[in-house]
Amino acid sequence: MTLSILILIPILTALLTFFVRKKTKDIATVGSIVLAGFAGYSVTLFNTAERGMQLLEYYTWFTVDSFEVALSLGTDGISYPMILLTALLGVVAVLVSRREIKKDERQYYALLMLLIASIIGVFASLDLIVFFVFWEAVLVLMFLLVLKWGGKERKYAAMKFLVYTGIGSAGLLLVIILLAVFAGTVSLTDTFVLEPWVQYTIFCSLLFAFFIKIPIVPFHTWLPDAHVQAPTAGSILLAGVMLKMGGYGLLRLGLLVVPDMTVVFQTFLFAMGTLTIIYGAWVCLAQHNLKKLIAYSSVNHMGFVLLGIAAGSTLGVTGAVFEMLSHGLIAALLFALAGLVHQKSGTFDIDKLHGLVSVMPRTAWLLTIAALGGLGLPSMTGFIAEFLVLFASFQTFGLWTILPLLGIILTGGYMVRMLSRVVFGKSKAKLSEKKVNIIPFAILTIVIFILGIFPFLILSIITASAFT
Amino acid sequence: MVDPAFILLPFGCTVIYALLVRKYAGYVGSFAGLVTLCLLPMLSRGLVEVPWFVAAGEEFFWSMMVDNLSLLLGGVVGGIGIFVFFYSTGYMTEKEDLRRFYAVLALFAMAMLGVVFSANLFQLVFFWELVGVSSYLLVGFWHQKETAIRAARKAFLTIIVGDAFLLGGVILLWTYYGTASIPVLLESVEANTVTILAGIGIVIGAISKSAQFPLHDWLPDAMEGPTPVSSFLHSATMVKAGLFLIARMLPLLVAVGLAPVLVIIAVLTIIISACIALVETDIKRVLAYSTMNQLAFILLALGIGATTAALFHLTTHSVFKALLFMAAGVMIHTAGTQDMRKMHIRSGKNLVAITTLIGVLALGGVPPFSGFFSKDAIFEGLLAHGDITLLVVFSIAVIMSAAYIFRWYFMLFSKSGKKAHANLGMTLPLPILAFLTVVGGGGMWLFFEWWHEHAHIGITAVISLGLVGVGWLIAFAIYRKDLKILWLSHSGLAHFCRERFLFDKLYSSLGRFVQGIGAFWAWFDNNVVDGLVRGIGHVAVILGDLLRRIETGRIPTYVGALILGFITIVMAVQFL
Repeated sequence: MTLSILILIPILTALLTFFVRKKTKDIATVGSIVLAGFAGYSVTLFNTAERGMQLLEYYTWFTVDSFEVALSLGTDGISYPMILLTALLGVVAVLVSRREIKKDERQYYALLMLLIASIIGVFASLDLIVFFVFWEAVLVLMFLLVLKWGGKERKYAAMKFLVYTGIGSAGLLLVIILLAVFAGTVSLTDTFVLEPWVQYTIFCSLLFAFFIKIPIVPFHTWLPDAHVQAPTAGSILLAGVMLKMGGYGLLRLGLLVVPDMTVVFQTFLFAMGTLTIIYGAWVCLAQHNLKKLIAYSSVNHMGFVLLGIAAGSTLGVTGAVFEMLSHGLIAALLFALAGLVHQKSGTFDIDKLHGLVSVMPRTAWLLTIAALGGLGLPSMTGFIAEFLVLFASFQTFGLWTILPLLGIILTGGYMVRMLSRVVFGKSKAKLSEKKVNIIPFAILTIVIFILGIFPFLILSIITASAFT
Repeated sequence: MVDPAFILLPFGCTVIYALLVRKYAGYVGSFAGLVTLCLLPMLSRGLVEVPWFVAAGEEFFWSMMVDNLSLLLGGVVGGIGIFVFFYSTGYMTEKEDLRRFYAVLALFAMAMLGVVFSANLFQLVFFWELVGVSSYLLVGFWHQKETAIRAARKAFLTIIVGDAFLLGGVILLWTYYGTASIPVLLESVEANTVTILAGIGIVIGAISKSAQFPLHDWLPDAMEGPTPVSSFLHSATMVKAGLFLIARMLPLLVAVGLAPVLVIIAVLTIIISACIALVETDIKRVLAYSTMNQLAFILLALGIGATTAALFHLTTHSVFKALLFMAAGVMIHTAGTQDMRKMHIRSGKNLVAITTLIGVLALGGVPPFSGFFSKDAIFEGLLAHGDITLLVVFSIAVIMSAAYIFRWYFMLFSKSGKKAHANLGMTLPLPILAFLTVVGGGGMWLFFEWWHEHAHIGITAVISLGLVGVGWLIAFAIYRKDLKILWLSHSGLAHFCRERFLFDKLYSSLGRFVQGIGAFWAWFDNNVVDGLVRGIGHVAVILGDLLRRIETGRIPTYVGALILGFITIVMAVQFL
């Protein structure tokens, strides 16, 4: 029952916020905290010695002839950290929304809660048809959040997001149909026997679907637009967990359904991952919009996830999952801080934000910590993640790994540039950081440090993945 | 016996204390240095290894190793730390953000201890990068100053380049040898391409931290930081981390034939830094270039295998250079400027003048001060090595280092100037460090005994004294007696030196170049990649629009289409 409770808590909260009509914020807050609390409790139920899927649940939904579609839930070392991350970011997203969202709160929190439920659903479902339902629900809910509570050009950004990622979903749907036809099953607990050409077709459409979602260069341009226009909570969930749906999908479907293909396409995956790392970082160097910079830095970091997957080894997969987790935390912190800065100063323009430290010291120092985390400073999660991925990459691709290593230098470059422009210097603006709720930022920072210094806390879970 | 992990505790606690309490954090830090120093002899020697975490079968260890090398560097960090924290209590005023200052300074000291006691390369990199970031935060401590921000950025970017290479080297070694443990690696080293590449990575990492050619240009700019920071990080300890790494990995670097590379880097750095130090007019920048110069001496000694001499010079240099920086801080405090031409400090019988003179004599290499003995030990090593070119270069370097440091002294001090003064916090460390500089030379025999070698002083002592005399004479003639060979200072060469051999310009153009390409990619991304996406969107809309126009709503169109379709089908059936 654990996983279905994790999905049901936010759905219930959504219903409550929508129908109670009073104390909307507080209901949402309590709901998200209960969710995070239960997720924390569920860690005790997760058996790290178990090698396959666990916390299994199975409810038949409908059958067509002999083809059964079921709400089949289960988790392993790859998806469970993502579920925990979603629960954690749910709290952060609700807390940062409390001051930012002023119109139609009921609808907003209900949609936000449904979004969280759907994301957990994506990570927890083992039946691909249910998986796809959750997947599409996430897109639509996010679309609505950007469309209604976004920035000035929200309509353009929301449409672009929906259409672009929707086209990606078509690839995913094709995969599911192919599996249903040629393997006769869409349940991830089964083994798939497929002819080579089907495998090729499946893998190519998987790449198409997930390259858009992760996103991998050159399929990334929906991301900066969506991020810049999205409300802060939307950005947090978008960068924090929704991008990970792509990485997760590639890991889950790529390695479980067509494992041979990841070896065939290894070089290609490496090239795309490296391109994404270097290109993402380089584009960051010339950004003038703080939120856009963080968005491109997400592109940069998600390249490491693909690099880990490309390496194909257990170490690579572990590194990729750790990188997803790490980036989920750090990007969420960066976006939360960018949102706070925008709330106080009314701008994301880097050139106007000069010298934040003299007017909003706490925010500025948190931003410094987050940026240093982003460039992979030891004692934070980013370092361990990048080390594992690069290590795996060296083992598989040898000296070619020097290219992503150069990407690290560029990453350092844009983060330091951002710090010296935004954080340091003398500010002319009159800002204040009174009445700022420091809790969401503190939660993220503490988790980033704890997992960076004691990575075994989460590595023991990741190691219990299905692919050892 | 105490577990070596405890060595991180005193400064670790100082970080927390500074963050939470702030008050008296300087004294607490000073005390932490003392505790560190007392802990050192109590540490259990050898290797302590504890599993840290496991990722997909790869085991990561927390391992500390206590040997002469780590104890020596640990002693330098703890010992100089005592004085630097104490000095800071006088130097920093209450208006500054003391919480951040002491927390980061203590974080640095802790990370530095972590580096020197690490027994595996992963852990070493872990602390190594923390050292780099604390340097970044301290150089940019006065973040309202644009020059400080730029200096901090430059220092950090150079160090990040080194970090990336070091990381690559470490992963290469781990991949090939299956371990990151330093003792195991040093035992099982083979001379092959992988190890050479890893060695190059390690050397690049080391020279970026130790400000050696060609990654040296950040150090003079880093003088924008507060003086205690310059004294602690950028002369006594942090810049020694690179040399420590080379000393630690020396068997590996020698085995793959990288020792000559170290020598070449050292020689180039010696020449460049000495030339610039001779024309620089900023009191702290001269010291920065002299630090670079002296570090290159140490690197040279490591390159020719005179490890003991190198480490001896490393130790003595840490003491007298920390002394000189602290004295410089007092003089800046007195004069209110850093331009040596305007400072005019009174020489003679006062504390600052005397202690500075002791530091200058030690750096110049005059007996009986510590610098003389350690420099002589390097000279002995070079003589034993027997390379004539190196001996000549070193001799010139000794002359030049004596010349630039006496020039520094003569430009600063005169009989008619102001008497240097400051509060007790700033002045108290000076006589103690000066005392250590005086007795440090005599410590040579003890030091070499401790290292299981024998110290030796011979003919080189006389030669080097002569060379120092020449250097002194040059400085004395030009800067005291105003001998008019100053055309030299107007020559193209001097100008070139003042322009820092154009490295500053080179690196800023490089930065602008990379940035420019970034701007191009951003444009490309916005217009080409996204333009394509938007284009496809537009095409879809236009196509949809065209198709929509077919539905005119008029009956004749539909009937016409119906007939056309019917004819097509009939013809198709006929022909097939």
